[in-house]
Amino acid sequence: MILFSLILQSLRKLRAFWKEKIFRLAVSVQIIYFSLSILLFYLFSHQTNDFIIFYQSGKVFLTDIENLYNQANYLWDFRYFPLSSLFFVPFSLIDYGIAYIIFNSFNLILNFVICLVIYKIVKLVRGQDHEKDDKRLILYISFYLMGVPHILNYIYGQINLYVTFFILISLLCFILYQKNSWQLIGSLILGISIIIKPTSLLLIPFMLIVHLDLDNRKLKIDFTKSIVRLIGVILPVLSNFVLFFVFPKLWGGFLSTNFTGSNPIALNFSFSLTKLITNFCFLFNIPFNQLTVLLASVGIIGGLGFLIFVLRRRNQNSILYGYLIGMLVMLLTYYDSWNHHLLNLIPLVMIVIFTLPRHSNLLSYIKPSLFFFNFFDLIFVGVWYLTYPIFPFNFVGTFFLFVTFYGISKYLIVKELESVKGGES
Amino acid sequence: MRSGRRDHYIGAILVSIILLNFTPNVFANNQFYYQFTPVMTELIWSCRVCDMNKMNALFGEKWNNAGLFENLSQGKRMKWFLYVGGARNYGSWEVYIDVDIWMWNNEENWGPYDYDTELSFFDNVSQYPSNYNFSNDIPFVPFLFPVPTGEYIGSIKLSDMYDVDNRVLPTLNVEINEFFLQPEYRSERITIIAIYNVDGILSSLKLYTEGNVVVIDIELETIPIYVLPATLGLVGAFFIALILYYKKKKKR
Repeated sequence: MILFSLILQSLRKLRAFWKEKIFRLAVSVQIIYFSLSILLFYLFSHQTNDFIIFYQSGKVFLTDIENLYNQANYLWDFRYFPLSSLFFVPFSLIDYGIAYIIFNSFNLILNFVICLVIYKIVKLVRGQDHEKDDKRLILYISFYLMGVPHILNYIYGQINLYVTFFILISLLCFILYQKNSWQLIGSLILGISIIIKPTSLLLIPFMLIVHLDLDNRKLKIDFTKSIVRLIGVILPVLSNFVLFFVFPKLWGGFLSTNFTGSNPIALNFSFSLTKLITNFCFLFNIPFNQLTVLLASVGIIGGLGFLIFVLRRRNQNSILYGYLIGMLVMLLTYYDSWNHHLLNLIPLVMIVIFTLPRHSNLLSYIKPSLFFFNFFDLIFVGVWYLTYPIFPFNFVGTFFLFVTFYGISKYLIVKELESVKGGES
Repeated sequence: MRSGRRDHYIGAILVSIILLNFTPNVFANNQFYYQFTPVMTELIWSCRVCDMNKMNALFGEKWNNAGLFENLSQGKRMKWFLYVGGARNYGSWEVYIDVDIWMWNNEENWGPYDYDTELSFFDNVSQYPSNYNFSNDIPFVPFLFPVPTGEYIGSIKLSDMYDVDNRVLPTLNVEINEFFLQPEYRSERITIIAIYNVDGILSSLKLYTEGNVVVIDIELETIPIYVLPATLGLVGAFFIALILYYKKKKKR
């Protein structure tokens, strides 16, 4: 009954969005992306997409789980947590082509659900000096739907939207409710997103409720809530370790595929800082250890991000900023940050824009970055193919990740927002 | 009238079937999927790094006496000339190409070729046995594959020492463990990373020892003409955009 009324409410809200021309255009663009993916699937990418790996992983999970990370079973590596393949088991039981269409249809529907969740969160966190009507919000939601990263997400049959959905739902739980039971539910949901794909792994430290008040020289820690959140998020992740324990071969495969093997050394167009460094070392024959580079990047950028988070001077919506910093750290530091991973970042950046002072100078950092991620990043993937023999660096995305990181950090730690017209939100 | 039209259709179909039966060779060519795209092409690889002492220690002093590393040392180049390839059916389809090879040397004048050979690969990759190794000798990877290369190398059930990364550039990673070369003697762990271009040509081969120290670095000499202008354009456009943005912000 509750679900039915929720669906009715959602449809009513979408109908309200539909009155805006830009939203109608965005829906058309989404449908074009979806149709294009199906067309390309049957014409070209039938056997060369990410979904075939997921589909196969579902089969291997059922029949030969010990060899889940054995590359002989796949066209390219399966890299996620073992339990993520459980999610694909139902798809692997049906015909591959039909499974792809169903999976992408879910992606299409999920995009509209994500829009509604973004809408709901923005309504809760929107700054006082922002427009009271929803026109600007619908405009941004439409931008999200028109986002170019959706193209590859659909074509590859990728799973990023599920991750985004769970991240946003957990965020909504934390923003809406203060009770410990909801803190547990919110963090369990984030844990599920990590199982599906570990892109949100580095959001975990930012779930801690810790704040060092520099003015009053006081460290505030909410131990109970922090521990509840940690337990909630770590439980689903740890459940993978049951499988690692029962099937030790899985653990070796997981480690080698993701961290220690030669896969992370190879050249690719990832825009993460770690990949730029390893590409540099590869090009100029500089001896390096891929794991050391990764740990150093996570240590430095993650450490800096966490320090800024702890030292923040603006406490409102801190979980939102924590999520954004965590996602930025992940995209900057993990070896492979692709264009379609931006679908995890873009909604968070959009929501943050609505919490910043409406005419803030900070927007000059964050808005160009958002538009770059949403519309232009893919171009530089293409450019990388033209330059990689002598310049294998997809650095423009990295630059805008740092710009966003800088903008958010500035907002969080600057004492007097002198450079911010409109002051505090 | 309707019946007459139907007879025409049936007739046309029958004639087509008969014609198909009499022209098997034309359509036989469509029975293979993979092919070699660079034909009548000259390929030159150069060796940027070759640590002879390390190679001697790892593989023994005869490592460059034969095979694709014959006579290899730093600064030397190897040339291949590829002729027109084709496909043939020996029970299962094979794609092949004839190659003239000038082995590694320092000379500008290549002279007559050293070897004239034929490279062939199964078209149906399931013909390769499980745990397949491209070679048990260095460099353990071919210098040329049929295209689409990523799909080809990703579909072969290779042995544990191979790991394919064909998400972006078709790449063969080879991990040679400490006891592979001499089972009774512990050597160093060796990693080979071979990257292929869209034409299936080896564009970079690096052989590393532990700590990713490069022992061998071979790269394809010919870089497409657009690479340099594209790189300069990218870096130039980025800095111009930054300067313009900064100036505009300052004006405000």
